Amino acid sequence: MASLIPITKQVLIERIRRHIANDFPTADFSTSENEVLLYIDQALAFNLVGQVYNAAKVEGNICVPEGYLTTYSIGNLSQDSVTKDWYGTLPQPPISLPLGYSLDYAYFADSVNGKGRSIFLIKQKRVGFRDNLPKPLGVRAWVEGNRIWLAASDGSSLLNQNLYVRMANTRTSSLTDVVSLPDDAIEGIFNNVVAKLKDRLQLPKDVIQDDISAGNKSS
Amino acid sequence: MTSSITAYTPLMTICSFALDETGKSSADLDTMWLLGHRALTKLSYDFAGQTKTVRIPVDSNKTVKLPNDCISWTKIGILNDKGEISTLKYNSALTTFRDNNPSRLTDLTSDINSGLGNVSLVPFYQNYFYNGGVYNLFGVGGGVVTYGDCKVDEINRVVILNIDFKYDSVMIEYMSSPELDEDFQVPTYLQEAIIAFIKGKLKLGAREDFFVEAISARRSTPKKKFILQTITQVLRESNGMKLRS
Repeated sequence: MASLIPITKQVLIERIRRHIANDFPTADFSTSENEVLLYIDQALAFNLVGQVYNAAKVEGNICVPEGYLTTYSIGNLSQDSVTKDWYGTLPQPPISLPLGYSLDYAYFADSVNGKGRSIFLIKQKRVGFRDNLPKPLGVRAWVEGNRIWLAASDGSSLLNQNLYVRMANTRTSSLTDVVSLPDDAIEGIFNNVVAKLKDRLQLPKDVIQDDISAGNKSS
Repeated sequence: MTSSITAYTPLMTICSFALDETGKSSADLDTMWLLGHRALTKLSYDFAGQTKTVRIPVDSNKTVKLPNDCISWTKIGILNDKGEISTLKYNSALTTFRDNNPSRLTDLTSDINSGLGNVSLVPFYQNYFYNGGVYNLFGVGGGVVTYGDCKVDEINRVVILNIDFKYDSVMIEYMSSPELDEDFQVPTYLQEAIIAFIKGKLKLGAREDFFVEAISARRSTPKKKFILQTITQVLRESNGMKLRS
């Protein structure tokens, strides 16, 4: 099967710039790639959340379209010397969907034993009292910004455990990275960014009001 | 041949069934497990506690500690040579005074002598028959041969034995609370009741559904069912007139 042309942020930027400039971008086009990228990142996350709630109309409960999901290898964890909890750094803060949707799957894995059991995800409002309740055997995790905290139910060490997490991603490390994006989301992102850029650039419009009668003309 | 339907199912599996049914996210699994834990607690106290028998050494102060997972005891006795538990007499007159203290025996200083010579000093109540005569003995039942007396102190979680109890250990049969090992191993007939409890607590189902499922589970309890072996045993052991196969 022929390989498909990947969607990168560079492709999205180029398309928007051509649309705005009505031709190949020239020096007249005062918007930089980085600026358009900021608009795209913003539109991407906004569009994602909207699509999730749209999907809920079909499914009856919210779910993240699979096209947005990416599994990241977080690697080895570090231990906080005071609390003794373990932590790793996520590639980006999760989007604003509840935990279980923004970040929906976490596990340890290594080349010898394969994939371990799922890590229990603890929503932020439960973290404060979770230690008061009985715990199932395993590891639990909670998220603060782009940091994921972990602790084993029996206090076991998580040293040298390779953490993997699956989350909806909206960021990429470079413009040429392939974006996890369903194709039907491109339209929404495009419209969102173009509308903002038109507003920002104060682009002149040639409004043709065809419905106005000829009336008296001075010319 | 393996089957995914077995007599016992891990609580986490049942909670994952509930998670799948309700369409919640994986971050709700921990909540589901806690609700399953509560359902299991309730069902264990209602009817689903599993019977367990243990042999526990008698402490030097003639008490025996109840197992930690003991919800309620059903039998306390010693083992006879036929492999049966010969139960001790439950003697409510035994005192719980200092029953969790190692010096219990020396602290039980008597105020009266319960021997035969004092019959005239106590209310006339003779409860013990031996060798053709009746006597007054406190704390010892008459007519039934037992190998000792016991009383259970539920607060201090100990079984109190008579101070001259002769044996090194006692057998205790009791309803146990579920044990969290790798996970709770739940009798599979409780599965739907636990799921109904979870859904009820999450307002995704009616509270009454739990009671319906719990009654159904109780009826489904394998050991409650009348099996063919039981019927044939009743026929064989009873003396009435009936058809025999």
